[in-house]
Amino acid sequence: MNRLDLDRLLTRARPGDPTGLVLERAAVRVLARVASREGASLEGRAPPSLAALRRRVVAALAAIMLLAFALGGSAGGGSAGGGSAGGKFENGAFQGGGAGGSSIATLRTSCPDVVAAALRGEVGARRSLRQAGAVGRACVWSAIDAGQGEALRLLREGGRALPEADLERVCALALRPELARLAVEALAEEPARVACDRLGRLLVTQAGLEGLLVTALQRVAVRGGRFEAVEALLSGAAAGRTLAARAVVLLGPASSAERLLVLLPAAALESEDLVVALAAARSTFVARVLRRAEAGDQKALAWAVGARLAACVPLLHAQAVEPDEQIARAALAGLARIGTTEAWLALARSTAAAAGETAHELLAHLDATAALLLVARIESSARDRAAGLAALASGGPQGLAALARLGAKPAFAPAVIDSLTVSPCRGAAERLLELAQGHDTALPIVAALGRRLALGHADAGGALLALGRQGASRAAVKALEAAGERGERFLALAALDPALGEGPRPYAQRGVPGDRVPTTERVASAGARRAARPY
Amino acid sequence: MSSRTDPRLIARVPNDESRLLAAARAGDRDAFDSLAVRLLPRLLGTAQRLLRDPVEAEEVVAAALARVHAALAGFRGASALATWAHQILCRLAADRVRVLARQRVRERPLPDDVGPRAEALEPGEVASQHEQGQRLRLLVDRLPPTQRLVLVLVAWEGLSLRQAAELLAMRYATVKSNVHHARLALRDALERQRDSR
Repeated sequence: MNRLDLDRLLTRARPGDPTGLVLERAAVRVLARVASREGASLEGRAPPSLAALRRRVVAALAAIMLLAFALGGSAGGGSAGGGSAGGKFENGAFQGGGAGGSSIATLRTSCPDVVAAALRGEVGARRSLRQAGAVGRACVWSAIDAGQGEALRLLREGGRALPEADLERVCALALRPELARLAVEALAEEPARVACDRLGRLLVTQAGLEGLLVTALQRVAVRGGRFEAVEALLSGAAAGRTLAARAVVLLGPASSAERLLVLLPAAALESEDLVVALAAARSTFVARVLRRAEAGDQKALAWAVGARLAACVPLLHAQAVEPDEQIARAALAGLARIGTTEAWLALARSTAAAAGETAHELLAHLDATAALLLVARIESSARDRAAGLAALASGGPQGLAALARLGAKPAFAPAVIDSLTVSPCRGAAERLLELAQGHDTALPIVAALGRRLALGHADAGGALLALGRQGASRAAVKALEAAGERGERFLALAALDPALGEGPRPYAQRGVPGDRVPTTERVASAGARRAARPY
Repeated sequence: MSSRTDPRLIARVPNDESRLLAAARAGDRDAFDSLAVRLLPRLLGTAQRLLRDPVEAEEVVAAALARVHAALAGFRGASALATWAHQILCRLAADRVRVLARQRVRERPLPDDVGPRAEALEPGEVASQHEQGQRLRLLVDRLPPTQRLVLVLVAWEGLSLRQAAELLAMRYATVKSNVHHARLALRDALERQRDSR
């Protein structure tokens, strides 16, 4: 054996450098010993824990590996999925030799390949980025800074939470319009407390991102972070973010209703978004708002009225009959806004109070649907019948029309005639005239019109003249005379009208058949038939 | 896949060692640990080859790194940081080898400490290259301490005779003769093994 053979054997027998877990564990132990040896120079600071050292070692070794991966990829024609020139991870540990001096700068030039591969879903690239720790994140950040926003999702590769520094940078990205959506979505993927903290801060400061942020917080809430999300949304609501307040209404517990009532001004609570949200809120939330309204919270009452909650009708009715006209008018307006059958009934019951005029004015805006519902209530409920008739009588054209249809039914005719007699609406006399067409005798209608004229409704005078021309001239003239001063003008008109001045026209002129003309015998026999009825 | 980084690739890597070095000099512990982790594979390998004992090797590497950290301010950059740290480690390891050699002379190690004897191996195993390397390592381990130390530094750590002499504070001629005698001893032992088969 010559010297050359021996040297070749010696080179081949050279023990290799430690690798893998052996290297990792040894590195952790060595760094711990170095730290303990330098305890005196640490100026009182505690040396790093073994766990911290282990993390540091693994990250640094992974950085070397990632560099090797990136260089291997670029050396292999730009294929990021290419082999590693300097080592590889196997079983969670770094294998292969140290890559010497690594370079973040160079890594960044090779990064686009690695990140692009990871975004394409290549497992090797994703694992490399993940295992490279801080260097991997730096690589991803370089891609993000270059405008590749999709790379944001690689930051959380492996499901780990982002470090504080990365969170700050993601928040900063949210301010860039082209990356805002991706950044906010990335923040929403963080653990609930961290995500809500960041999203909540952005919600307070960035009005333009309100929609995105509220959606993200709702997603966090659905994922299990409801409490944290509601807190963040409340902070946004306090800063005037209406969408955030709406989300609180839909997501928050009942107690958040009270917090909203404290945080938001009345105008905000009565905004369209919030009243719609309250109308759709859970029953417990609504109950809490009503409880506050019952306790005298006017903001809560206004919010409930805006949401047209039927449950606040009794509260409003109680205020509507108060002597203070300002309070009563506000309550009446609330009842009209709610617009349910109960609300219209409450308005009708308030017409005799101090603000009765206002109640009449509001009732005059009754719509056709409400009128139909009131008719149904009148027919079904004796308790609400009087108020319902009064509401219809004050209900403008729609109410009067509904009342006239109801009066065609014999069971309701007397009540309807009474209601029309006192109706404040101008068309009531015409409706009475219509009713007279369907009655065997016009006398009750004539009497009603006479009373109406006496109450000061001039339209009744014209209606009486019209009825007189149709045959009830004596009764009409008598009713005009009974109306006193208010009837004098119409009596003068009647005197000039030949159809009214000559008394009743003969039956033949009125078109009554000869066999139907009442004679003494016929009247007597009709009276006998009526007397013979068993009931 | 090669177990070592392609030198052409390393050559393309602009060195960010200076950045970490500056941070470590400024007291950044993380930066120093990053540097240390990069040096560790080679330092640990060298220490284990010189000392043969993993525990002793780790102690010496820790001592070397502590010394590197303490002396960072004085590092002028005349060589690479890895080379400088490697020199410090070799010096400390050599000192430790000498101390251990004196202790072992006094303590007479148990037979188990010596490891498996080369003669006990099967002839078939000797034929394989792997086993031949293992056998040669055992023979190197059985050399006298100084001869082994010098041989490892020159043959396995890649130092020149002059560098080894400087590092071990020995005369050049002494180092050269120690390497020569070590090679002779190994060749004789290998030839004896071959004759015995």
